[in-house]
Amino acid sequence: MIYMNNRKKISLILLLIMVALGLAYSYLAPYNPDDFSSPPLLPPGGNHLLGTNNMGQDIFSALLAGFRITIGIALITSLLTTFIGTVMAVLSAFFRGLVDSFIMRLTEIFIIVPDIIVIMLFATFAGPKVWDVIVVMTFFSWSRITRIVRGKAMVIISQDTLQYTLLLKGGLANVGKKMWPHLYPAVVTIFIQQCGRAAVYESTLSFLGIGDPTLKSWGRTIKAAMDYEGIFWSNAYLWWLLPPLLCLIAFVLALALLTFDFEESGRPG
Amino acid sequence: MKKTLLLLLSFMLLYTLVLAGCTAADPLPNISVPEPIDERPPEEERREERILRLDEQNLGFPSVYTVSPRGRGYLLTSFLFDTLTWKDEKGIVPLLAERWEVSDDKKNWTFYLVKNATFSDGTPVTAEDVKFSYEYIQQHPHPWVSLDMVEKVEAVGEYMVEIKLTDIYAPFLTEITGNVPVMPRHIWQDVSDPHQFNTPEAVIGSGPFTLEQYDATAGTYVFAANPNYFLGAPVIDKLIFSEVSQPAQALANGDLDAAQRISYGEAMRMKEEGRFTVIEGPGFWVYRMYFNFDCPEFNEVSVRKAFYHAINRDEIVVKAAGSGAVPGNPGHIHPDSEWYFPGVKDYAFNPEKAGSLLDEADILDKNGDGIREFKGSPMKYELLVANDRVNEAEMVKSYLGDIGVALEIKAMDQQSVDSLLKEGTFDLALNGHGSFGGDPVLLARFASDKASLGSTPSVTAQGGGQWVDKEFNDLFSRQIREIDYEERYKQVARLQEIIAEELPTLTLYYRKITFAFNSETLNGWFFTKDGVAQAVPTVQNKLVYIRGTWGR
Repeated sequence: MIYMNNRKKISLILLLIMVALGLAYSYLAPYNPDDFSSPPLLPPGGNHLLGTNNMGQDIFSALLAGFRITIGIALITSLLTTFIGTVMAVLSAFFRGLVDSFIMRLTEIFIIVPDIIVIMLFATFAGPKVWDVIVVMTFFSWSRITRIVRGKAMVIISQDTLQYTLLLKGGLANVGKKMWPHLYPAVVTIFIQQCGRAAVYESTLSFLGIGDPTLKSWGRTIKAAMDYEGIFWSNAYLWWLLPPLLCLIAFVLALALLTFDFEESGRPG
Repeated sequence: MKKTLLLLLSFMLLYTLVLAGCTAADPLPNISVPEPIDERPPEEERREERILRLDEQNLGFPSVYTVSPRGRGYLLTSFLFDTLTWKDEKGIVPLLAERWEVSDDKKNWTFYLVKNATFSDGTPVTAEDVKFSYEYIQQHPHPWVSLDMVEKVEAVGEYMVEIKLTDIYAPFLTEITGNVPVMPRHIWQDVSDPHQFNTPEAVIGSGPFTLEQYDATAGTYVFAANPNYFLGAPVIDKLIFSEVSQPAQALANGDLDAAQRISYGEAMRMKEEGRFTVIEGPGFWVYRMYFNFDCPEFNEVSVRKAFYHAINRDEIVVKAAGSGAVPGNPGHIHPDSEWYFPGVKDYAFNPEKAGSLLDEADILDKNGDGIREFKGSPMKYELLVANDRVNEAEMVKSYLGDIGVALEIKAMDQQSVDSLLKEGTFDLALNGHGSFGGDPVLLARFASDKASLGSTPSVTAQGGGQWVDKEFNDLFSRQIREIDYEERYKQVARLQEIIAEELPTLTLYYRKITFAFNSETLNGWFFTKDGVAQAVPTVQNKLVYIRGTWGR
C-alpha cells in the first residue's frame, strides 16, 4: 500500500533522529539553557559549542532544548487538532441534517472570527503556561481540518460499502471504522502539515501573552536573535540565528516530504 | 516536476511564516509628498524642500485627547498646540506668554500673551482661548495634566490672563503652564466628547507645524511647517514620522534622517563608525517592579526588601539592557537629578540576606517543594512584562527562584501591560516609563491620598491596592507648596529615604537615551532640561525645529 522510496526513508530517519534528540535532550545539553551566568556574546569555543547569546546563555543547549520543546508542542498540538477535527467531520458526515449544519456553522464562525483578537482576549485570562499554547492552537485549528475531512467523508459515506453498513443499521463506531482506511491518507497529510504550522505558530503566540516567553523553542531563539540589534554587525548570526532556523526548516521539510508520499499513496489506481 | 514545485512552494510558505512569526519586516510606507506651495516672499532664494524623516511609533491621532497618553504622544500634539511656557536645555522659557508675574502669596499668576500668535486657521490666540482651554481641561480630565489646584482663570484683557490657585504649587510653571495646550475656543467650545474628536479641525492649533496627513493604519505622520509661526517659520518644511522596525538600519540606508528608537549598543556602534552624529542624554526613563498591594504578602515590607536584595541590578543592566542603563537607586530619583539624595538605604545584591529576611518573617518552605509559603499558600506569581523586555523578566524570574519565589512570565504588548497595570490586574509587573526627570512632583505616584495636589501622567499610575504611608503623604503635600529650594530639597530627601526604606516599587534601572542623526540635514538637537514638557526624555522639543540649522 505505502511504498518506501529513498526520499521518504531519509525524511523518516531525519525525523526519528530529531525526536530522539528531543527525548535525550536533558542528557546531552551541557548547560541549563536558562542559566545566564556565562559571559555574554562569546563566540563558539570549547566551553560553548555555539557560543552564548546577549544574556550569557549557552546557545547550543537552547538549540537542543528546541528539539524537545518545538517538536513536542508541534506533535501534541497536531495530534489533538487532527483528532478533534476528524471526529467532528465524521460526526457531521454520519448524522447529517441538524448536526451537520450545527458543526458547519461552528467552523464558519472559527474561520470568520480573526484569531488574533480572540487570542488577545484569551491572553488576559490565561496563564503563561505551555498548555495554554497547545489549547489555543488546537482551538483555532480544528475547524479548518473539519472542513477538509468532512468533504472527503461525505464522498466516502455515499460509497456502496458504507451505504451497505448503514443499511445494516451499523452504528457510528462501525461506520467510523469502515471509513478510516479511506480517510487515513488525508488525515495523515493534514496531521503532518499541522505539525509544521504549529512549530511556527508557537513562537508568535508567546508574544501575545500566551505561553512562557522564556521557553527555549527554536522560534523563540530565532526571535531573540533577530531582536538583538547587533545580530548582523558581527558573525553572531552564524551561530545564533542560523542553527535554529536550519533545524526548523529541516523539521518542516522532512514533514513535507512525508506528506507528498502519503498524498501519492492515497491516490486511487 | 509538480512535486518539486510543491516543495518549493512549501519552502516559501514556511519562510514567510517564519518571518511573520519573528519580525515584521515592514518596509517604509510610501509617502507621497505633494508639491510645496511656495508662500515665501519672492526675494527669498528658492531652495530645495527640506524634509526630515524620523522613526516613531503609531501614537494615535495627534489631537489633544485622541493621542496616546504616553509622553511621546503628547509631544506629537505639542507640534500643533502651544502652551504658555516651555522648556529648553537650560530651563523654563516663554512661549505663548511672553512674560509673567506672581503675587507675593505665590497663588496669583498673571501671564502676558504674545500678540502675534495665530491658530493655523488664521484666528489670533487670545486670553479667551487660554481661559477656555484651562476650563475645558478641568471639565474633561486629561491623561497628562490635572488642574485640581487651579481655582479660577480670568481673561483680564485681550492678551492678559490671571490664574488663581487654591494653594501654592511649586512646580506650576513646568508642570501646568508648560503642559496645558491652548486650544482654539471657537472650535472646541462645541466639542462634548473630545476623545472622539478627530476631524481636521481637531488639529488646528498655534504650533510650529500643521498636520498634513495621518495614516492610522500605517502609523505615519506628515507635519508641514507653519510659515506664520509667531517665533518664526521652522527651518524645515516637512516633518515625517513613520513606524520603522529597524530604525538604525533605516538610518544607515538613508530611509531616515534621524533615528530615535535605537538601542544603546547600536548608538555606540554608530558613534564608532562616525557616519552619523550620535548624542547621549540623561536617561529620565525608569524601569521598575510593581507590586500589587491587594496581595497581602506584598504589604509585608520584608518581602519587598528580600526581593530587592535578591535582584542583581548591575547584572540586569549589563545583560538585559546591554549596558545602556544606570542601575536603579532605591530612593527612586535619578542620580543625575538635582533632587537626588545619595544618603538613602542601599540594597546590595545578596541572596543569602534576602533568604534570611524571608526566614525571619516566617515565610518558609515548609513542604520542601522549593517554593516558600506565605500563610500556607505557595509564593507563586505571574510577572507581567511588555514583550520587548522579556530578558529582564527572565532574569528576575531566576533571581527570585533562587530565594524560593516562583514566577511565571506573562509577556504582552505595551498597551495591554499599561492597561492591566492601571486596572490593577496583575501580581507583579515590570514596566518602564519616562515622565521621570525634573520636579519631584513625580513622586506623587506614591502618594495615596487625594489631598496631594497635581498628579503624574496616568501612564505611570497603578491600579488596585495602594501603598499607604502617612508620613510620605503629609510630607509630599508639604513640599509641593514649598517655594524655598533648600527647604524643599530637605523634604524631598526625606521622601526618598522613606521610599528606600519602604520600597513601594523596586527601581531597577534608568535607561540612557541616545539619538543619531545625519548632520547633512537638521542640526542643533539638544536634550531639554528635565525632559520635554512633563519630563519626556527625548530630543523631540519643537524649539529644535525653530532654532536649528540645516546642513553642515
